[in-house]
Amino acid sequence: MPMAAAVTVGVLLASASSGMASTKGHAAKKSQQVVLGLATAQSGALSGYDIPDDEAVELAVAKINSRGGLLGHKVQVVMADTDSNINQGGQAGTSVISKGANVMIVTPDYNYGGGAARVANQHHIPVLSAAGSSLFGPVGIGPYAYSTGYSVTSEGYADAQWAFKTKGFKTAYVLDDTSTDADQEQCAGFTKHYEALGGKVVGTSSFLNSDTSIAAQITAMKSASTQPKFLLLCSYPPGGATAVQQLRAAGVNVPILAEQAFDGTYWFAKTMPKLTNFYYLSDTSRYGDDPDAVVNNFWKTFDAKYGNPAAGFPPNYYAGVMAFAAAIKKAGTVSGPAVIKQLNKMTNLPGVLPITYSAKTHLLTNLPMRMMQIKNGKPSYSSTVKLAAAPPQA
Amino acid sequence: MSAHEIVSYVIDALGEGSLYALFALSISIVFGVMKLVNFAQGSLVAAGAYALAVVSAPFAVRVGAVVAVSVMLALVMERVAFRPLRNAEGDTLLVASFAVSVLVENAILLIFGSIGRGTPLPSYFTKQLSIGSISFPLLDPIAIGITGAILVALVLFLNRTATGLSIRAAADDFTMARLLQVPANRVIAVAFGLSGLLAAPAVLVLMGTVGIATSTVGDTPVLGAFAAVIIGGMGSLPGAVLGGYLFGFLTVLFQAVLPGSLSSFQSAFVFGVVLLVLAIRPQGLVRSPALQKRV
Repeated sequence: MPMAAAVTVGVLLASASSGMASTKGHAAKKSQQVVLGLATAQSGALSGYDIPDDEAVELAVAKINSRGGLLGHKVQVVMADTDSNINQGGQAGTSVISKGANVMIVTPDYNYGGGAARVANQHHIPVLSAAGSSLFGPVGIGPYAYSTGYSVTSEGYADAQWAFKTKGFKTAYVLDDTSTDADQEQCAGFTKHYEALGGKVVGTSSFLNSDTSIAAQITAMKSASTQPKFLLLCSYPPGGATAVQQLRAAGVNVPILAEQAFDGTYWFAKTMPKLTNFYYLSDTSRYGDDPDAVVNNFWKTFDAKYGNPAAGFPPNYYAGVMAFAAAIKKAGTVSGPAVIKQLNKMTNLPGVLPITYSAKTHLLTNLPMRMMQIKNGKPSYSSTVKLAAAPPQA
Repeated sequence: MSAHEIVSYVIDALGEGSLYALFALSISIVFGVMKLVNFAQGSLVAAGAYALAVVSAPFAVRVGAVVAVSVMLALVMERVAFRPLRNAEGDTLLVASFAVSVLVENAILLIFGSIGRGTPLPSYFTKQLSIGSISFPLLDPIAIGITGAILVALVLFLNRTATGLSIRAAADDFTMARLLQVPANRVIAVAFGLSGLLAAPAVLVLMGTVGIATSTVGDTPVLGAFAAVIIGGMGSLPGAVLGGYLFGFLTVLFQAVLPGSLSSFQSAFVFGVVLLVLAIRPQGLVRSPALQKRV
C-alpha cells in the first residue's frame, strides 16, 4: 500500500528529525504555519482504520495546498504512531506537539483517540476525530475536541425512526456489545426513541466483542415470548461479524440493523457471500450510488489514489480537515481559542459532509444519513434517514 | 425458564465447553512436561487461523496447512524461546511466553494487516441440526466427539507408546527421567509438537464459530482454557476436559440467569466461581500425580 510506505517513511523522517522539533515548533508558531499532527495508529490492530483516515487527511492537505495553503503557508503534516495502544495515545499527542503541531488529528474512537486528544486540549490545540461518542467533545475531552463522526445517540434515534416509521417494525430485539461506550450509547438512544415512537423492545442481550460464542444470547432471543420483527446489533467487526454469522447459522433470519462500522465487505464476503436482509446507517455510500454527487466524486478520487479501503472513515476526516481549514482561514490565525470560536459558529459548511457545530455540540448530531442495505452479498444505498431535530445527547 | 430453554442452554454449554476443553488439552500437555503456562498458545491458534484463511486450496489441503503451521510454530517456539530457558524459574518462562505471544501477534499484523480475514468453510460448519423443537449447530456434537476422541487418543498414546511413557516419566519427575536416559529435548519437543497438533482441531472448531481470523482470535478461548486447566487440575488431561466443560457451563449459566444490567459482567461472575473452586480445592478438581510432593 503506497500510503503505508509513505506513513512509515514519514514516521522515520519525523523520528530522525525529533532533535530539531522544538526549534521547528517555535518557527511554525511565529510564521503561523498550520502544522497538522497525526497522532494515530499507523501500526497495530487499529491501523486498518487509521491509515485510510490518514490518507484522507493527506488528500485534504494536498487540496488545500494546491489552492495556496493556509495563512500564506503550505500546510505541513507531522506524525506519531500510537501503535494502536490505548496507553500510547498521550505520548503520541505530546510527540506531534513537540514536532510543531498546532492542530491535531486522532483515532476515531473516544477511548483510543482520547489520550492524544486530552493532550491537545491541555495545550489549547484544536483536535479532530471521527468518534461517534458524545464524550468526544466539551463534556468528555474538553472544548478543543471536535468530531466529524455522527453521534451514536443520533444514530440510535435514526435507527428507531427508520425501523418504526419507514419499515413498520413494531417489535425489536437489542443485542448490545458492551465493550465500547459508543455501542451502549447507540443502543440506549435506539431504545429510548423506539419506545417513545410506540415500538416494543421484546428482549435485550449483551456480549463482548471478544466473545467466541453468542449461543446463549441466541437461545435467549429465540425464547422471547414475542418474536421480534428485527434485531438491532450495536457492535462492530470482528466480534459483531461473528455475531451475525452465528445468528444466521442459527436460523435467525429477521432483518439485522447494525452500525457504520459494518461498512465494507471484508467481514462477510468470504464467510457469508449471500448475506441478505442486513442494514446499517452510514455517513456516505462508498459504492458510487450516493445521492450526493460531491460524495461520489470524493470516493472516486480517493479510490483512484489509494484504493477502496476495507475500513475507516475517510470522508469524515477529509470533511473535518476542510472544516478546520475554513475556521483557521476565518480566524486569520492558528491560535486555538480563535479557531474554536469560528468552529463553534459553523453551520452547514458545505462539502463531503455538512458540518455544524456549536459551543456545546462538537460532533455531528443530525446528518442526512444513508441507510445501506446488504442484499445477496451486495451493499448499496437504500434510503436517506434524517431526524426532524437533533436528539438530546447522552 | 421453560424446559425447552434449559435444554437449549445445556446444548449451548456443551458446545462452548468443547471449545475450551480442546484448547485446555493442548495447554495441559505442555504444562504436564515443562510446568509452563504457555500464554503463546493463543498466538499459535491465531497463526493456524490465518493459515486456514489465506491458503487458497481444497479444504483438506487447508486443514493440512493449519496442522503444518501450528506444529511448526510450536516446535520453533520450543527451540528458540523455551529450550534456552529450560532451567529458568517458572516466572521467567511465563514472561517469555508473553513475549513470544506479543511477537507472533505483531508478526501476524505486519504480514496480514489489522483487518481480519474472513475464512470460508464447508457449509456443514454452519449447518443446524434439529431434534424436535430444539435446534443446535452440527459443529457442537462434532466438537464434543473430537474432544472425546482426542482425550482417548492422548491417554492411549501416553500409556501405550515409548514416547508417551517418556513424556509421562518427564511429567512425573523430570530430573529423575533425565538421569534414566529419557531424552529431555526430544520429550519436550514432542510435547510442544503435540500441543501444536491439538491446536489444529481447536482452530477448525473456533473458525467454524467465529468466521474471521484476527491476530487476537485465540486470546479469549485460550484465556478460558487456562481457567479450565486450573480448575480441572493442572497437568491432568481428564481434568483439563472437565474444567473446559465446567467453564463452558458457567459462561452460559451466567449469561442465561444474570439480569440485563449485570450480564455485561458475566466474565467477572465466571472467574469469581473459578476463584471459589480454587479456594476450596487449590489443586483443582482432578489431582495430577506430577504435582504431588514426593516423600
